[in-house]
Amino acid sequence: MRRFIGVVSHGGVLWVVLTIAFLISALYLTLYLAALFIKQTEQGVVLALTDETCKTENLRLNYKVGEAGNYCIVVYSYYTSPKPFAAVVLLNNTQLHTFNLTTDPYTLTTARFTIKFNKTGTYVLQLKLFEVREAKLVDTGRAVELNIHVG
Amino acid sequence: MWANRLQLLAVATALFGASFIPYWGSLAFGLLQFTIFGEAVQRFLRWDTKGYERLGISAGIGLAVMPLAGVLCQIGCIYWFIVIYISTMILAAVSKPHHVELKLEMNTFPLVVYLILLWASLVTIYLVRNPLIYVFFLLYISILLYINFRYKSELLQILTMIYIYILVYASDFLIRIISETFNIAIVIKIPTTYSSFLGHIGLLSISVFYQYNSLFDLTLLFYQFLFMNLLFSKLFYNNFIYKLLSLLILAKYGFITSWLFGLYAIYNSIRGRTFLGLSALLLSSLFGSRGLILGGLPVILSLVKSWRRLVIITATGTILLGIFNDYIQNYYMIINAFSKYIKLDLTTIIDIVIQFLIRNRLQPPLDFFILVIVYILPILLSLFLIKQRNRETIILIVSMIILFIMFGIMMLFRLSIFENFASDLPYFFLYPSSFLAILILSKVLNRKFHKLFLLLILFFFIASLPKFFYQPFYESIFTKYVNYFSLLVVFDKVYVKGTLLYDYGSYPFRAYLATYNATMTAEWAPSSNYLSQKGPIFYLGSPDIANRPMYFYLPHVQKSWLNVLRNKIIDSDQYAVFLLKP
Repeated sequence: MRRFIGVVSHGGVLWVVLTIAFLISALYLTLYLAALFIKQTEQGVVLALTDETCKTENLRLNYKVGEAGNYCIVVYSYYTSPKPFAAVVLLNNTQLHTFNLTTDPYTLTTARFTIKFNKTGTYVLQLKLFEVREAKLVDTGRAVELNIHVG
Repeated sequence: MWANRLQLLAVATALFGASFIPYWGSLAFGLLQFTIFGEAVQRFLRWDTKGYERLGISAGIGLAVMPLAGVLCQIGCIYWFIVIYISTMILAAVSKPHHVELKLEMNTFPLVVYLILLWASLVTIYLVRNPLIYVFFLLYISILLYINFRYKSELLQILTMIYIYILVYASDFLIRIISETFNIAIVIKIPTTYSSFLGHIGLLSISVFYQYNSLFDLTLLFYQFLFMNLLFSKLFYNNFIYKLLSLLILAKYGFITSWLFGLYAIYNSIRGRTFLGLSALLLSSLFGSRGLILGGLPVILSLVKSWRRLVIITATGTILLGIFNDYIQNYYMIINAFSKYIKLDLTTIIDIVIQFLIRNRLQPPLDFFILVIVYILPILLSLFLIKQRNRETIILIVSMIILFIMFGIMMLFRLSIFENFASDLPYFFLYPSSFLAILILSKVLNRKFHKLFLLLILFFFIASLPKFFYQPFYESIFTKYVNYFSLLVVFDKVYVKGTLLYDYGSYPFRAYLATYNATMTAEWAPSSNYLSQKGPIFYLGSPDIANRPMYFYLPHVQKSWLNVLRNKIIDSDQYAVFLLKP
């Protein structure tokens, strides 16, 4: 066993092929384990604001007075365990909605809301994500922002 | 006799069948093309090679036929697989059997240490995100060098070279494996500028066939390094220190197969085999322009003994390359387009150099200076230490000096056209110049100077590592890929149609972004260049593109982006997605 890969082939193409296959597999496995470790170590969350279908297809930035904008919050968690989050919706710095979301690892979590635009002007729609820790909201630093024009 | 022949036929058939197994099939096809097909060709030609030379030549033959894959894969790579299989069967059946004398030897202990070091290195890159990482790498490379000198094994030498290459390009390999664990769809678009690089397109097409998996990349890498080991052994008389040094210089050069055939061209020109040298040069140009830059001058200068032949061959070669090599045409177009801005009189040159040194905002990171100083070292050493001048040495010295002058000129072009446009073009001349310097030193210096080369290995290792001193590059790309892939998962679910722009920071992920209608924003291009496109435009990259003091972006470009990046719809730490236009 001392010469683990010690192969001396006399006319043994098969042994050469098997040895190379073993070596490449060992390299691949080592890289795979390193990648797996990194994947397990890096944890976090991604926040997105989309239209009501939870896609960006009809995401509008311009509305007429009296129209309503329908939005969807998309949260993707890559924490390795379920986590409670709170998504806070603000319009011109005024809090409109708070959604409590429990995210499962490597899944998308969604929530929908509607805003009616009654006045002309530019609205700043903000979405901030907080982590719920012992009934307190801890800022995750994740935020998105839309500048909406109502004419 | 027939038992030997039948064994080869049976192994080829088994590998051909296994080639169609999803994922692992790439390993089987690699073994068929680079081991068995190469072996069959060598048997047919009755080459009596042994050991690693035989395996290296098989790998070289497998790579040399890759341009044909570039042609056949246009109608479907399955035809290429069948051609390789049938050719192997015919060649093996009609050739005289050959007893393969191949020792793939390596002890258990160094293999285990090697794999642990590879794992530890990648994890260290991830966990230690500051210059302290050099201390770790110094330790790891010292251990690896020690086991290389303690346990003599050519296989270990090849694996060590692969270790260094993976370390320099770790992000590429880890990104691919992590993407596979995240199930990110990978699509490759073969750029039209590569259409003449048939060999490169062959490799890419087979990558596409196997859905661009990391196992295929590793298999290819292994065979490239077998061929590389053979060429280094021929050029440096199997001296491990020279092999290591050469690899450290060339690891950042890109397009490995191209420069491998460039090395083969140099080897043949040194041996006086003009026809083989030119053939290798032509082959290298089918894989990219790196090999041509590396091997072109030594091959052409070796023809100087017959001026008439030199002029005819150089003129024909230049015209053919001009016609067929789109990449070279592209360089010409760029330089031609900016020609009216190029002024290279003495005052301008001095002005460029002063501006380059004093403007803090645009000053390149520290690693730029480390890299250039380290790569110039062997060039200076070869000029000062070499007294012995034979024809072969003179050809290499002249080639080295011309390439270095080209580096200077391209650097001045770059600075005068784009200020600090982050093009790699000047380095494509610096790396081969530095490599030729090592080749000259190895040919002339005696053994007492070998300690000098051990010191050079340390310097080159530091210079070859990724841009650790350049914080945004390092933070965003080298370690944040899990975060980045999470962003891509979200993007995959919410992105419908429009145009996706990504910046230079997302460059290593370009293969994944090809799934979308994605365009890389040029570093020097203002946002207005993209706003004429229809539909919403998404920007994927650093959220502070518009206001951070960056090496890549010019002030007027930043200002134009600042006006545009107002709506952020997806947020993910270093990366953000902006809706640029409703």
